[in-house]
Amino acid sequence: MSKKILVVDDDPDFVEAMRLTLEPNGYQVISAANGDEGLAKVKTEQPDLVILDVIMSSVLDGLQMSQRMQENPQHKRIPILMVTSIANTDYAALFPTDEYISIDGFLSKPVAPDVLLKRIGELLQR
Amino acid sequence: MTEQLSGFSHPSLKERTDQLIEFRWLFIVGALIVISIGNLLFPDSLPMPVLLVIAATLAIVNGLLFLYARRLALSKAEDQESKYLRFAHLQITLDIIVLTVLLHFTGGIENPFYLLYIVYVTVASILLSRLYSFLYAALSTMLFSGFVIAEYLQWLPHVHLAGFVSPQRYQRGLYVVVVLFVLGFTLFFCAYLISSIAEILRRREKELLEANLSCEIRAGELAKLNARLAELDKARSQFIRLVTHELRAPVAAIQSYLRLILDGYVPPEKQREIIEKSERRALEQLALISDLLELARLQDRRAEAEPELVDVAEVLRGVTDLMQARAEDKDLLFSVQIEPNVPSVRATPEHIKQLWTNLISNAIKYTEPGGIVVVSLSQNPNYVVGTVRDTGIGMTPEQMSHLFEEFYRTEEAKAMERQGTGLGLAIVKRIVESYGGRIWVESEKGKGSKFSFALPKAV
Repeated sequence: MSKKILVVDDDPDFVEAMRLTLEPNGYQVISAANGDEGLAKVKTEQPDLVILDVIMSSVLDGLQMSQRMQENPQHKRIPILMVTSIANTDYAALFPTDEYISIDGFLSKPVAPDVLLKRIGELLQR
Repeated sequence: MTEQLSGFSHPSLKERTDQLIEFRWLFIVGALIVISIGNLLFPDSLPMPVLLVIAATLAIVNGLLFLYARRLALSKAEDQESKYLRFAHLQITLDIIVLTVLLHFTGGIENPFYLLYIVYVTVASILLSRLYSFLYAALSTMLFSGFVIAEYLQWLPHVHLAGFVSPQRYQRGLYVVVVLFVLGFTLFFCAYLISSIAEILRRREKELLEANLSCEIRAGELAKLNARLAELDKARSQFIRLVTHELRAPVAAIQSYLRLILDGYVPPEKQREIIEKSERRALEQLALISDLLELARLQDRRAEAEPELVDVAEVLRGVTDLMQARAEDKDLLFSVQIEPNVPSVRATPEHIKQLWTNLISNAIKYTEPGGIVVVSLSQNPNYVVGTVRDTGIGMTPEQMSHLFEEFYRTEEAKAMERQGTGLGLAIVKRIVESYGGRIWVESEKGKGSKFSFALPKAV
């Protein structure tokens, strides 16, 4: 059975790029444009992995979604791969990832397809 | 009097009245020494017991003055300053009287120590106002003249310093008159000179105090300014963060697409679609960059051409020609109502063009086909007023409060029109405000919006 990946991003081109990368490699891709929609899809679709954009309509949207997922024991085990267009280390300080949200990977946009597939493979094997 | 002395803080007055007491101790010691020497030089001339009683009395009085000064220093009375002033008057008057009495008993006009009056007039001139300097000069002259003339007329006994001056001298009326006149003249001149200098010093002192005060006020203003700058700096960092994000996003999307094509993830039949999407993002990026440049230009007014007289109606007609076509494409009812004789405004023509373009194209963009867009131009006594009304998606009050912020776009606007930099209204606001105008919006979600701006008429 193919693994299901939820891509949460308000940039449809990014979602499209993820789809183009993942679908030929046997993953099923579903998408959401914001945190609320993403949480709803987590519940209904039970994805195996979530790719989450940090900055969507508001800076905290992606972070809030990951926190909400942690609060739910059912969704806690779903690995989260964070993707962001923020690369500068100054801004990374804005996201105290270790302290209160547990995410499993952090990638910077644009993401090279082979890097992405490798990280997803690793996360799904755990 | 009080007014003239208002620049005087009591610390200096206190210091000086205390000094008067100290000097008086020295004066008493000095007087005793001088009297002793005088007694040796002019045996049997001086009435020693009287002089000693005077010196002792002065010492006792000075002790009392010292105690009073200490009490005064400890008291926290509101009128402390006027108390110190009265104290200074008391001491100077006392000193002049004591000197006069001493002079009377030590040779009168024969005793050259009458020059000491100059010292007291000087002290009075430094401590007190000019009026009082002259009063003390007059008092000194009067007291000295009084007893010298009384002695001359033999109303008072004269103490003759045997062998010091010939009796002919002090018994000559002309000599007495000249000495008294010269002393009086010297005292008045001294009072005039010293009080002039003292007044200048007092004024300086006052100015210094005021300068200090205004420095403190300025320091407070600077602190406020600093806080405001820190706030602005924070806003600027936030803005840069947003700009960075907005600039990276399209490039990242384009790069992802290109990489996918290069790495063979995109099937040939889909490649054209992906390249077209990439191009759209590139165009979006270009639009964003030119908007950002526009914003920066608006901020730096120096780089701009001098504002000229702009006919807002004419600019509007030029813009509507372009917009008409777009509205028709979208099947919108588009109407323009221009009041006749609307006066010009002082501005850069490109800015007015951009103002109309941004507002009208927004109205067209966010109104569903079949809707209405009405543009109007009118005037009120001081302003030229433009409005752009639509029956588009509208906004909630919460959304309206963020509307003019850079990069702000409502979710509904994004859903309806993907492309958009979120800078158009920020630019519009900056244009209007840079010419001293105002822009506002009325809107109801789902019903439509009405943007209005008012620009000051050119005088």
